[in-house]
Amino acid sequence: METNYLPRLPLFIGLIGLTLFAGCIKEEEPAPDVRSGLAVVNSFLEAQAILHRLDVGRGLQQLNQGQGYRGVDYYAVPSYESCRLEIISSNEGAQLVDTTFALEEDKYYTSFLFGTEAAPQHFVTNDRLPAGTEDLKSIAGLRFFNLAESTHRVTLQVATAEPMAPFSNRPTETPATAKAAEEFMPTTQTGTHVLTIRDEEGTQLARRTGVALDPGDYLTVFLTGNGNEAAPYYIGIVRHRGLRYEAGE
Amino acid sequence: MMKKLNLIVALVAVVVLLGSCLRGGDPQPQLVGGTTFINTFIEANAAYYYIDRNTVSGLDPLPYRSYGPGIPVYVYPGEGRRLEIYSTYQDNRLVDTALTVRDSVYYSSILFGTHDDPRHFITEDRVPESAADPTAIAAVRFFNLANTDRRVTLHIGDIEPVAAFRNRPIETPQSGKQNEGFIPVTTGTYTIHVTDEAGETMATRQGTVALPAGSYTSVFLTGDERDPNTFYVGIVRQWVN
Repeated sequence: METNYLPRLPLFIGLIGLTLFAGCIKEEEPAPDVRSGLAVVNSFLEAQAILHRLDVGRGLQQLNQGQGYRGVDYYAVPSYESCRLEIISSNEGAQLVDTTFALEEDKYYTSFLFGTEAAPQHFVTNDRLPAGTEDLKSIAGLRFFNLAESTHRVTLQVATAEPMAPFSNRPTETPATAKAAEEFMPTTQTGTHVLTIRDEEGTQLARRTGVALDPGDYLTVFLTGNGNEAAPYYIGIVRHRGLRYEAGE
Repeated sequence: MMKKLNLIVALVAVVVLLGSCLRGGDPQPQLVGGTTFINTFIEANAAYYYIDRNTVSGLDPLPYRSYGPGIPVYVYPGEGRRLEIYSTYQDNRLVDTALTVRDSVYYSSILFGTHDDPRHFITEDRVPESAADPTAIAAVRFFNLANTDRRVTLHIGDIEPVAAFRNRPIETPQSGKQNEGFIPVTTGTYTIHVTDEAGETMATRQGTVALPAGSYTSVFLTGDERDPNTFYVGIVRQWVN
């Protein structure tokens, strides 16, 4: 009987030791998947909806179940050096866009579709923090695209401030002018603002109240619509939250 | 010898395992205070509330013509707590303000106005200083939160309206704060209606409203002149301290 107890104590201590030290064992850390941020914006007013299909090396796959006009959606997608993006209209499944671009790791991109069925226009921006700015925590960033179907040259005014030069007298974008204006303009004018967009004669086309612009916020402001009753001018906003996160680091 | 060791091991195990059942320290005094959120912002279906960028549970979102949460949210005391309120329409930020929160005070956040002119104020909900026994009286305060140019008067039953209930234009945050005090009224059950300066009834509260002893009630008119059918008498029984 007495001999039976002998091996139990070391066994008991051994078990406790094993349990306690098991937590110290380093396992292979799971590697995070490599992702890029892709926002998609629909400013294409001639279709009920559009469908984004993306090929990141696994064949074309749908990003969504269709995105309505004025829609803004955000996706984290696998990074891929030659990603193919196809956009299809809900009108007879017409292909509006078929383009290829690079999705780099931890970088953010935004796809804008506008124009008409006859001449669809599309561009993809590289979304990055303004370069050469020292104190990212105290500034916010804005950029402006005119995606409206009109011949007006439009000006974006934030609150009552004098409009910034890149936001003044902008004709409807072409992919080239939009890419040239893809950098965010830093501003210290943070708060809750009213945005107004006027044409060259000073007539107000669209207005949007209560736009929150806090330090560290990066916003794309775009004008869409054609001024008709069915598609009035409208100010759309894309919040680039991924950039905000980096700014907070 | 080995039996003794086993006993020791068992004892240690018991102490370790049951140690967590011990209650440490004295019971803390209960914290009293909180904030009630009242949404009378007619231009949106509802409003989202954030305190220091955190959602407030029970208010996600808070529909028009309602208030919450059931038990006021205890916001930890401090200065510069950030309150943001967003409209469900296009994520308009209606309010972005700093709160000073003190312990043992009940607050109400009152939201009204329009997207072009959102208005908001925070009241401190206190028992009137003149009240000898807070549980023996009923008290009422009145706000005009309707988007109207008319000056409105609150009628509680047949009681002659006191000055604070008469000819009230739409509140500003300042006038709202000035009228945050509760005014004692005779306890009872009343019909309540609101008239404009011409004596025309703008809205009548359906049924009767009980103002028993110990009740502290906010009465307000909400709605919009563009559709007179929207005028509505809101009633919120308040927590006070």
